[in-house]
Parts: sequence; C-alpha cells; structure tokens
Amino acid sequence: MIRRVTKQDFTIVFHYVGRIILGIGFIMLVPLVTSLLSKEFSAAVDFVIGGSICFIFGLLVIKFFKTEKSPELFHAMLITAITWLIACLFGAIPHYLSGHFGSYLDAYFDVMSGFTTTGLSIIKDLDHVSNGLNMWRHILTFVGGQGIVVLALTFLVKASGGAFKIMAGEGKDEALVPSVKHTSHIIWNISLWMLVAGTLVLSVIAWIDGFSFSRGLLHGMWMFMSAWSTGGFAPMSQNAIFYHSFAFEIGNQIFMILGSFNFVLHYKVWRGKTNELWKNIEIRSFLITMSISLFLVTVGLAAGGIFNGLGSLIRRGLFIMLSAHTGTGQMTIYAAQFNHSWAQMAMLGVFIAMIIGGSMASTAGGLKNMRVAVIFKGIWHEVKRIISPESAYISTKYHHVKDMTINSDLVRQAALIVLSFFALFTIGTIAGLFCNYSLDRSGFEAISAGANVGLSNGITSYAMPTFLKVMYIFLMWVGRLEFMAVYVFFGAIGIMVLKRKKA
Amino acid sequence: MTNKNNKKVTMPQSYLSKQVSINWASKQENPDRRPVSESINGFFSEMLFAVTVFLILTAIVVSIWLVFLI
Repeated sequence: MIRRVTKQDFTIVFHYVGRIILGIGFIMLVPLVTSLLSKEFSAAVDFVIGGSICFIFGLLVIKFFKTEKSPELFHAMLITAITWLIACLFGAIPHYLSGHFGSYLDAYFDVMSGFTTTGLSIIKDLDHVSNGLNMWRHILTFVGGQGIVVLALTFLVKASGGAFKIMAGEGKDEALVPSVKHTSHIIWNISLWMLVAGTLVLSVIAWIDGFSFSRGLLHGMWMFMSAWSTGGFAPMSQNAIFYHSFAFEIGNQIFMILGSFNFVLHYKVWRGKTNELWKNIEIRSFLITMSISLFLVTVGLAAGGIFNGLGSLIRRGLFIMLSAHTGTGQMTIYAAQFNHSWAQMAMLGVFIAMIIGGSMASTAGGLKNMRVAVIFKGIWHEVKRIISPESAYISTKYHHVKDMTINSDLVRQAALIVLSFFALFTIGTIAGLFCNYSLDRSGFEAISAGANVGLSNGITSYAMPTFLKVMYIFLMWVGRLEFMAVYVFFGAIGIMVLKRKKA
Repeated sequence: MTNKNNKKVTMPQSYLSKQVSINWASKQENPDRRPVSESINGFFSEMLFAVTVFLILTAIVVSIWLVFLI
C-alpha cells in the first residue's frame, strides 16, 4: 500500500528545510565579512540582502511549520531533495545581485554547480568578480562537499532518530560513529583542520610565486576549497592555468586525491589505523582504475603528438586525469583543447575516469570506487561459484574498515545505482544532441554534469540554450543525491497528483 | 606501566591535564577526547600516502613517455 502525503508530512519536511535555509543565511556572514575587509561595499550590500532574506524565510518557515516529531525515512528523502533545490534558490541571491549573471537561472546554475561540487560555471567576467562573491562561490563548494544537511546536523538540528536518514539521503550513508551528530562533527573537524593546512601550503606557494599577502592567502584558500571538496571552481577564468606554477598544481593534485577519500577512511587514519590506507578496497579500486585510464590518456596524448613532452604529459595529462577521476574539474588546458588536441583514446580515458569518480561518503561524485569494486567482486564471485564443485562453499571478501563478505544484496544495490547513473548520462547526452551538439561533446558534458566533475569541452557557457542549462541543473542535482531522494521526491508528487485526480 | 621495583607508575596529574586534545563529539554528548598528536600523525600519514600515489602515477606517465621516446 502506498502512503498518502498528509499535512503533517509537509510540516515535518518544511520545518527542517526552514532550519537549513537559516543555516545558509549564517554562512553568508563569511563572504559579508570578506567584502567588508576588502572594502567592497556594493558586494557587502548583496550579502546583507541575501542573508536577510534567508533569515526571514527560515524563521517564518520554522514558526509556521512547528513540530517536535522526528522525520521518517520518507520525510528524510524529501527534506534532502527539496533542501538542495531551495538552498540554491536562496544562495543565488548575491550571485544575481552582483551583475555577473545574465539571468536568475544562470545564477541558480552556478550555485547548484557549487553546492553539488560540480564546478561547471556560466559566470560572466570571472576575472573581475569581487573577493566577497569569490569567497561565497568557494564556500558553497566547501559546504556542499561536506553536505548541506551535514552542516545543519552539526549546528542547527538537535540529535534525533531521523537525523541519520536525512544524512543518508544526501549520499553520506556511512556512519563514522553510532551518533549522527558526532559523525557530522567529525566530518567538519577533519575538513576544517585540512582547510587550515591546505590553505597554508597553497598560500606559501602563491607567495613564493609573487602573490601579495592577502591575494596569496585568498587564492590559496579558494583553490584548496576547490580541490578538497572536489569542486573545480577557481577565482580566475583560466582556472589552474592562471597560476603557471608546477608546485601549485602538485599541491592541488595532492588535495584532490585526499578530498576523494571516504570520510570513514580519514577518521580511521586520524585515529591511528594508518594501514587502512593500503588495505581499503576503495583505495585499491581507485589505484587500479586510475592507472588504466591514465595509461589510455598518456598513450593517446603521446601518440597524438600534441602533448608529447614529459612536462606536458605530467602537467596536462596527469592533472586532468586526477581532476577527472576525483571529480574535481580543475583544468590545466583550455576547454576547446578537448575537442581539437585530445586524441580519441585519451578522451576514452577521461570518460572512464569521470564516470567512476571518487569514494563513497566523500566529497566526490560519479559511480564511486566502492560500487565498481563490489560489482567486479560480484562477477568474480559468480565465476568462482560456477567453476567450483556444487558442494563447495564459496566466499569472496573485501576490506573496508573491517573484512566484509560479498553478498547478492550488496551487488544488487550497487548495480541499481550504476544503472541509474547510466540512464542519467543518456538523458543528458540526448539533451545535448537535441541542441545540435555532437555525440562525443554531448556525452562528455553530460557525464561531467551528472558525475559532478566539472571538466568542460566548451558547451557550458552563458550562451548555451536555456533548455540545456535546466537539464544540466537537473543532472547535477540528481547525480549528487544519488537518485533515491529524487525518486521519492517525484514519487510524492505523483501520489499528490493521483489523489487530486481521484478527488 | 611498572618501574624496577614492580611498583605501578602513573604520570603526574599536572602533566596529564596539560596534554592538548580535541573533543570530536558535540557538547551534548559524552566527550570523545583524542590527543592532537594522534590526529597529526594521521594527517601526515594521509599526506605522505597522497604524495606516494602522485609519484606512482607520475612513474606510469614517465614509463610510457620513455617507451614512445625509444
């Protein structure tokens, strides 16, 4: 029997949505302070307006939809799906007021890209954006990487039985410790310690490269946020090329690798279990698939003869591959070079890396290393079962924090998500074809949006068709929430429509 | 821990209270205090691991480049 959507369901869902929007208002204080310190008073006004609207809306919604009830799984999925849509609506206010976006849809696109850690951007004249707006864009990425809901659970919501369900809806479905509040505290503790260390490393490199103190500090912080959150935004339109610094690129690659790791893994290593790094199935899977795709890219580029110098192969080939596989999207080549300079074999390597993505419960998107590993282990398990005597007991194990055994439920769940991802990529590709882009370009951009990567071959720009902007927003949203919350969201709408028709 | 005379030795309370630690839990929960040194070790292990991964990947690129050079 399918449940009915009642008034009480709305109350629970919007109560939590209101709290999270209130949280967005609080976060706007950071770019506001940045604007004031940088003496950008016009940008400061944008954040005062944006923050005030968030506070007013959040407080009104909390007051209007008052409840003490804990959310059930159904509510949790709806809260997650709706929060991400509404948070982008409010987060886009300072974007739109800045005058760097052609329409509110463009501003919405940029915020969705930031929150989902995709990194595709349709901003105009990025090189002259205020420090305040740049801070806001990178904070969106940083907060989105840890999860909007995780942030709310840490600071705004009392620990409750339903809290973990909301977190699971956002893709963070592994509890580090039994308490959800404790788990979200750990995620933020790790990220903030890394923020301090990463900002220091990249800022020092920027200062050595000749940046002024404040500019080096800001660029170091923003590029760290972009790499650690596997976001891909950059404060300059040339992205990572702007810095012309091999050391800066190496620093970014190290933080991209770390950012794509599972928070459970970070926690275990920070608690002394360092050997987990070599034993964990996600890391092993990442090393294998990264090596295979890097092989394809390097051979493709070297044979193609355009990036055949060793320096070029490392600074462009390896960087782009790490950026693709970790789902970051930072670029050391211009978007058009994908169309003209990259051999087909190299493009295949990038496709594979983008589709697979990073680890579960990390800031990265894509199919995830764990699912790929579980499916391959599942295939191996079946082969072993068939070639063994019928009376033999077959068991296939893998290590993720502890030794685990492959079972049909695990393989089925992984396969369902993988199938859903491929359906999403297909929808995105068809949308690109509909707008008269070629198959390879449409496929590339659709995978980049759906797997929350952010590499672009030039389709994504403020001049692209409105239909495609809406489609890519949809792809980024669905890919980040990993389907279940979105299915429940559309299911709830379907139930309401059917009920109204019957009435 | 015991000394030569098999007597139990404990660290003075004043020393223990000076150890720097981080509370990983929220205020509403039981504290989960861990020494900072433990987290710093973990952080450097992760950094070292990421650098190692980067070097392995660079070695793959160099190997393929050498093959094409020959």
